[in-house]
Amino acid sequence: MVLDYGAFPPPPNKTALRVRFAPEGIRVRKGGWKFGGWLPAVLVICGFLIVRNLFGIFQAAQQMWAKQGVNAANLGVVGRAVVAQVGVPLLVVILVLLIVALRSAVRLGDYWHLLLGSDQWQLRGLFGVRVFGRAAPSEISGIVVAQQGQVMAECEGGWQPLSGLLTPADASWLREALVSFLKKPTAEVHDRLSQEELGVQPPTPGPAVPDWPQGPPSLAGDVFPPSNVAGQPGKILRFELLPFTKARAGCVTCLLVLVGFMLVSGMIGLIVSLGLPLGRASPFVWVGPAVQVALALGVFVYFFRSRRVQALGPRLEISNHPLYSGSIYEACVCQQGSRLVESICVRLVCEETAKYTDGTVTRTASEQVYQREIWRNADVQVTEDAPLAERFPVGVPAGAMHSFQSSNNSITWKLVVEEQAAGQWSAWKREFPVVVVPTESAP
Amino acid sequence: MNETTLQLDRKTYAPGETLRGVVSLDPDQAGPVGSVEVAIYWMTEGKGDSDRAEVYRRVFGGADITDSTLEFEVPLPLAPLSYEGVIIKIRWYVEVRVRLQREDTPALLKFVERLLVPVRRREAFQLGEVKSPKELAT
Repeated sequence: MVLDYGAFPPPPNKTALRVRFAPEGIRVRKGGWKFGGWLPAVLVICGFLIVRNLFGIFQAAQQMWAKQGVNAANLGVVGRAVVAQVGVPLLVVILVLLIVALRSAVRLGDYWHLLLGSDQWQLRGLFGVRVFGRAAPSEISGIVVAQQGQVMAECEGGWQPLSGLLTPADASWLREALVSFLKKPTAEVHDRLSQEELGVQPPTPGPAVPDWPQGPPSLAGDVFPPSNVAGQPGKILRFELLPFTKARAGCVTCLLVLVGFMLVSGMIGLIVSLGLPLGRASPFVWVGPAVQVALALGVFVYFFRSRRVQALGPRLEISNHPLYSGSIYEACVCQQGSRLVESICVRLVCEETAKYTDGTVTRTASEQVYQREIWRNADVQVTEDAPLAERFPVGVPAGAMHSFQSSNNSITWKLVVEEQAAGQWSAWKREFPVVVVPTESAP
Repeated sequence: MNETTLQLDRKTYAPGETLRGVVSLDPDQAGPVGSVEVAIYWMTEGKGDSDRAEVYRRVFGGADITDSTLEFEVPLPLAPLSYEGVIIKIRWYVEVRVRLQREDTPALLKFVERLLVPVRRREAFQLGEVKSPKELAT
């Protein structure tokens, strides 16, 4: 492959990605420095200590020199004070920065660069110490945006990462840029999959995501929802679909903090009340804090149990994504863990959602306009050694409406998995959104 | 009675196909035509608040208007397709606006007229052939 620097598109505005043309190849790196978590706190504390101690030492030295004059003895005292009171925080700062740099160098995090050479593409970490991904352009058969916005290449030897975690917009741009840089049609790169091996009907050829021949480019993004719901490479089929999760991490954190506060205050109350003579004599004094502690413990146990149960829920993989209406694909439902699955079914659902203003309130209306059961099984014994992995065809009806997303209206397609296991008091219901794109018809 | 008309070559188009249309201007306009705007857009209708996106706009003005008919052709996008859903409907329209040029109009009034140009013609057309949910269910 001959490097054609002119073929690489410039990054869009307001992006964190930087492109630099070097003799050895095109270098794409994520710009900016990320200061978050405990690092700024440590640096601020150490900085404050250094400044405060320097100021204190300077004042003390001035007083000392005024009384005794400058001599070797008090210079030595000042020197020792500087080393002890300024040197230690400075050492902590240097150590912290070294640890952060070392961690960033050996792990694929926020600091990475992708070197696009003529024969090989390499993803390297900070300082280029470690190579996280290596792919020859001639062997790349597909480039996708994987889970959490990581761009990955499908090669003969498996999946290779081509970027760290990116925002959806940056990941989408990088994918398109790399696909166009390969000088292969998008459809070929994205959809080159031996469907014959899977025994399913190949979809009608067309672009992975239809382009807009007219109008501002931003419109395309407004109409089709992000197509990276097929988040990551699957273990059995090509993609693993990501389940729909509600963004409620903030609420959960607040609730857990509240319950933690309840637990701590209840335990303190219990210890104090049991320590008092009145508390030991009458149960009315310590029953309140005991109930509070029991409730808080119950909420914690329920939360962590439900998290564990969620992690063990069914997974869904699919042979290709996005889906073309009128085409048939292969899907695979997977379930790990030891259990008797009493019934499991997969439904294809199309849902219309509309936001409307009612006075000063914005309401949302949803309507399931199409649903069809596409697979069902019952009484399946799943063991640790033999997890459930059932394949079945998924067909999007010919002439069906494609996925659509605008500011107030959306049309969503999803695969809904419902599973009832023995000894489980409620059925699992997981929704896996998929993107349906229209089949390109000949004019 | 003569009036401005808008004619499309068809009512249904495949995605990516070229739409051709002709605007015939009213010869009995109240004044000389300043400019003619042709816009193609889709909009949602139904229960939710309406969304609208314009995919084509062309302003014919001055030298473009040599005849009483104006022809235009536009390659249509691939999506979104026209859709008759339960609570969402997606419809495509071609809209023509005509601005008159009156010499005696004060500048402020010209500015107001520019903002409040009446819609002369709006024609709906269908992009693609998508089945409605009812048709899919049968």
